[in-house]
Amino acid sequence: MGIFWIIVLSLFQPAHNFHVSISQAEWDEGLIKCTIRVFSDDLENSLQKSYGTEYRLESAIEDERLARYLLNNFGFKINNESLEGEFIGMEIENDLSYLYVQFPLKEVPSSIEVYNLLFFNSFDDQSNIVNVKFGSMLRSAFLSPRKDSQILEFQ
Amino acid sequence: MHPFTNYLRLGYEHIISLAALDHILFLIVLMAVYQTKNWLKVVIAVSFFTLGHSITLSLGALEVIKVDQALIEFLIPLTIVFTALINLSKFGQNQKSNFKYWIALIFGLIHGLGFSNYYDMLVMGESNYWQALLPFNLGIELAQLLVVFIMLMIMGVYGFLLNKKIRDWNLFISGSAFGLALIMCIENWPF
Repeated sequence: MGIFWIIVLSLFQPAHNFHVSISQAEWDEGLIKCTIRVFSDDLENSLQKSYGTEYRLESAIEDERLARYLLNNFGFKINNESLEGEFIGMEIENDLSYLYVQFPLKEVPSSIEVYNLLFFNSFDDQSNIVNVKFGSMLRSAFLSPRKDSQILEFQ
Repeated sequence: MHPFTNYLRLGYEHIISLAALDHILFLIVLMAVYQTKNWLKVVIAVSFFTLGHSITLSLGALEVIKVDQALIEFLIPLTIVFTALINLSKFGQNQKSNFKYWIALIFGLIHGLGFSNYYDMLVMGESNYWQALLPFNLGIELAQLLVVFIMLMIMGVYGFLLNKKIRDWNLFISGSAFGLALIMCIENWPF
């Protein structure tokens, strides 16, 4: 009986776990410039899983492993080929962290595949929204562990 | 897809997933006194609840309501305790009274404070209120109406087919929710 109540109570957590990241990508003069907005604690937890529990988020700024982690999990594909990405930097603002990456791309394609698997290894209810703006056209991808990539059409 | 659709989906899935069970529990208690024929009153009460937490979520920008999160986690189950207690009074069982709308609105404000860290995530640069927060709130409302619809069906079956009184349903739901929420309050005691 006690176990039953522990299970029931563990389902009712007033502190909502809101496992979300939202990214903006915009094409500008031969580059897709991206801002990935994540919750700082999610990012730190995720890095601690890889590098050990003592790892602090602040150390990630100077750590090239962060770039690898990001570019392995976030990016674009055209004709099934991943675009070569570059990590630009990171800002930590209390609860939120902003990660900047960019992908050289000469001209705007008529369709592009977006993938974002950030934190899928930490949370099975993670949702990653990626808003992509090419010129005046705005499209959006909703990515989750059930569907980790999506093709956006720009016609 | 347009971003609007995705923010809508984000709000919808947030309620439907198990992450927001305290939200759903509040709704079930709020509507426990109503007979199925008064479904419109339920829809209005739930919309007032959405209005309440949309207001506090949208005020996130002003930083006026940086309330201690531990306190919020205590207050949210307390709203369920109070609503369950009110349901046990004659006053709270009055189908015609508009009192439930006010409870839904005011307690909605408190539930919205639990969303405090959502605002900064949802609103950035080009995604302002209309592009991000509005569809997110609409998604929450849609999910809540789905919960209401399912509960009304269950309550309808209970009332008509089994020929039981909604009063007994209310006693059962409000009693169980009272116990559950009271334990949550004690577990989250902030003082």
